[in-house]
Parts: sequence; structure tokens; C-alpha cells
Amino acid sequence: MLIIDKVNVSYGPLQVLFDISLQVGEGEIVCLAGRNGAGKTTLCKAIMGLLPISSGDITLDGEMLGSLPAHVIPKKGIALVPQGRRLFSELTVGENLEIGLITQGEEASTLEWIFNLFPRLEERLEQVSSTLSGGEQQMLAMARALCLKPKVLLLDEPTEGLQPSMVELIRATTKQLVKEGVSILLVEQKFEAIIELSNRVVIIENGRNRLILDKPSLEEDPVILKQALGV
Amino acid sequence: MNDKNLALNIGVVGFLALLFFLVSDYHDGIIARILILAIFAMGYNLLFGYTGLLSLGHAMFFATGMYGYGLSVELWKFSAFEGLLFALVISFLFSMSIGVLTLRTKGVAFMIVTLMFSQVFYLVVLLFGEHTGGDEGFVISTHGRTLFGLNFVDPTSKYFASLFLFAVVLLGLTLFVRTRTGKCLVAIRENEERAKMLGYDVWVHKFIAIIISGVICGLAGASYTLIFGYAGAAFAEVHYSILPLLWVLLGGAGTLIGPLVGTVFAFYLIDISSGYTSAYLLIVGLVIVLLTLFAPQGLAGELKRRMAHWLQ
Repeated sequence: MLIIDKVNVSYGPLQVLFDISLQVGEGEIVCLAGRNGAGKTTLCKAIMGLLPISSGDITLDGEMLGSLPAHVIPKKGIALVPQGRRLFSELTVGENLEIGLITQGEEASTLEWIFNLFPRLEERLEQVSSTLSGGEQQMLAMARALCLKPKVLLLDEPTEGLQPSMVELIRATTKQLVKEGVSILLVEQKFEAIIELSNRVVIIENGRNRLILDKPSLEEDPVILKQALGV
Repeated sequence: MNDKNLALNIGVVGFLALLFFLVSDYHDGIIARILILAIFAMGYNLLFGYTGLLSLGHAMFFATGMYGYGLSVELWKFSAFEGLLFALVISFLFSMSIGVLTLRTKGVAFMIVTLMFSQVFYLVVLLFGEHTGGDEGFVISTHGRTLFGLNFVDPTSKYFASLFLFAVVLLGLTLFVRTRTGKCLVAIRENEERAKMLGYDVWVHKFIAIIISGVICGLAGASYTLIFGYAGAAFAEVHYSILPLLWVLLGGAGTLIGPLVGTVFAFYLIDISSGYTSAYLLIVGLVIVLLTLFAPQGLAGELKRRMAHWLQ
């Protein structure tokens, strides 16, 4: 279980996250929602060790992650699919995956698993990643993160700017991953996606926890979520 | 993964071996010099082309090998073999120290810091001119130009020794870029933050890259002194930090064969154009501008982009 407990993060003198807390249990999809600039991406970066936390704790299965250097955290079982894909754009699909696989080890079985999830990538191994379509780039970004065989996957707005068929595919894959035991912290702003996917929604506003809604509350009164998202 | 790169590089080495018998002595001499300087460029390329670290101070690594060899052979009367080993050990220790100090910086600051260290090195060479020969440098005596019975005054020995060293470094790098560490360097070049997200210790890998790059450049410097019999402060000057950057950019950064292509191109562009006019630098400048416009990734880089993506 990933536990974020009263985490504070600052960019220099400017504090952007204030006592943020949330939990992602095994096999859960927890949505992190909020308007632009609320601090969702900042929290993902802080979890990955890419931004230092000034106070608070981040633990995964009881192990403190807050003070670890960024390159150690993926080895502990957390992977991030960043917003806007952020591939190694000059490299081919195969090279992107190869770079992802190096730190993990069991290359053959991991690749087989990934190609089962995203068969299209296997057909495009030699293609330079910047020439892929938006949806294929998103598949590759997810696949590269999955090369680490994470226990918890952080997905930062994975369907942003994608065509409907790709959105469906990414959502279906997200559900499949949960079935296979991967826990997911999903940064999402789309109301339908949150309703469809999440076990729990954590809404943050101006870097602070505003509201936590569980599945029954969401289904019972979705208006609260709509109001929180401003839709 | 493919073996096309290995085949290409073996083919290039084979072609260069054959070339010795096909061209005049004049060109043999130029090519031997080009091959040693291409080793220098390959060392630079590992840091710049593969790791994405732009150094403006690589003359100090070349000169470390050059003076490590030259001084040990001339002052302390080491044999050529002992001198080479000494130069490599000194280059290793020196690049480690420079790595620890310069990797506290990034980007433009890294460029400036490496430039500053290189200038300090140059001034130290001048300061100890009594031993280093200062601007004038010094010539290596016969015992320092003989290795395993080969005397490098002989053009054939010169050529094939240069080719042998070039081949060893080229094939060594061909294998190295396929290793885990080699791939990590590419990931770091592409984006440090993403590399960290995938579990790479960026600092350690950059440190390794600086050491390997420094040792290769040191080997080039030591070999130059051994084979051409001269060490001088001119090789520690700032333009010897700019030249490998130019050769790598012309040839194709991040390709194994690019540094050789760039060095050959730059040498022969000057050689041929200076045969037509004393204002040959105008021609050189124009050609470089055209290349920058139409082949911004360098000659081998363009080839890679257009038709041979497998080129490493």
C-alpha cells in the first residue's frame, strides 16, 4: 500500500503542496482530481523523488520513500507515466523499451506481458517513437513504465488529447492492470473516466486536500464531484 | 540489436588498411595523424554525443596523455611501454578528479567549468616550461618512439600503429555502447529526469562517461607523442578543445563512425581548399555553414536519420 501522509512540497520559497494525504491500496484505482495548477503533477513528481518533500512521509508497504534518491524509487516498485508521454523521442520503440527494461531484469517475460497488453507496439519495434500516433505514444509511455514491473503505477492524465478509440483502449488496459495486481494512482480531470475507473477520488485544490469520495458516495451523488471539478 | 554496426566498423578498418597501399606517402602521413585525432574525437563523442555533456575542456585530457607519456619517457627515462601505461593511469586519475569536480554543475556551467580547468592546465604547462618545453614543446628521443621493436619514424609503422589503436578504440566503443552502461548514457542524453524515473543513477553514469572519455582522449594524446614524436603546449590550448567538438558535429554526434568522418572531412577540406587559395578559411566557413543548414546532425548523423537508423 502506498501511503502519502501530510506531504509538503515547495518550489524554492514557494510552497505548492500543503499536508497532502492519500492512500492507494492493493488492486485499487485512486483518482487524483483537481483543476489545472492544483498540484497533481507536483505530487506525482514528489512521490517519484523528482522533487524533494519538505515534510511528511511517503511509504510503500511500510518502507519510507521520502528521503530516497529518485533513481532508487522505481526499484522499490513505483513507476510514473508522465503527462504528455515524455518518451525518448529520438529512439525507436524497441530502444525505449530496452532502456526501460535494463534496471528490471527479467526481460523476456516482461516483454511478453507488455506485448500482450499492447500488441501494436510489437509491430512497431523499429519505428522512431516521435513518429508514432498520440495513442501509440501513450501505449509506449505506459509500456516503458511497466518494464519496471511496478506495484504502483502513477498515470498522469493518460488520455489527454487522445481520440475516443484510444481513450477506450487506455482505460481498458488500466482496468486490466488492476486485475493483474497493479495499484494505480490516476491523475484525471475527466468526469466520466473518474466515475468509470476509480475506487476512490481524492480532490485537491490549491495544493490542499479538499475532498475524498469513495465509490458508493460517487455513485450516489456525482454532483459533488462535478462541482469539485467545475464541470 | 544488430551486427550491422560491427560489420560496418570492421569494414572501415579493413578499407583503411587497404588505403595505405593505394595512396601516396603524403596522404599516408595525413591519414595516420587523422586516425589518432579521430580517437580523440571518439573519446569526446562518448561524453558529448552519447551522454549529452558538452565539454569545452577536452584538450586537458589529450594533453594529460601527451605530457604523461612525453615527460615520463624524457625526464624519467621510462620505456615506451611503461610511458604508455603511466599516461593511461594518469589520465584515469585526472579524469576522475575532473569528473568529481565538474559534475557538481550542469549545462552551461559545465561548459564553463571544463573550459576553466582546461585553461588552468594550459597555464600550468606554461608555468613549468622548464620541464614541459612551454610553447615550443619538446621532441621525443629515439627510445621513446620505439615500442615492441617498431620504430615510429618509419611511415609504415606510424600508419599501422595509428590504425591499430583506432581499430581497438572503435571496436571497444562499438561493444561498450551496447552494454547496460552504454544504453544508460543514451537515456541520460535524451532526458535526465526520465532516466531517473526509470531507475538510473544519473551522476554515477555521467562520472563513468567522463572517466572513459578522459582515458580515451589521454590515450590519443599519449599515442600522438609516441607516434609523431612531439609534445607541446599548443595541444592544451582552447582550440584543441573546440576541434573535437567541430569534428564530432561535422561527422555526426552520437554515432560511432561520425568522429572519423568529421575528422577526415575537416582535414581534407582544409588541405584541398588551401591548395586553391590563401583565403581557404572562407571556403571552410562556407562549407560548415552549408552543412549546418542541410545536415544539422552531421554527415553520419544525416545518413542515420535518412536511411540507416541502425547506425550506432
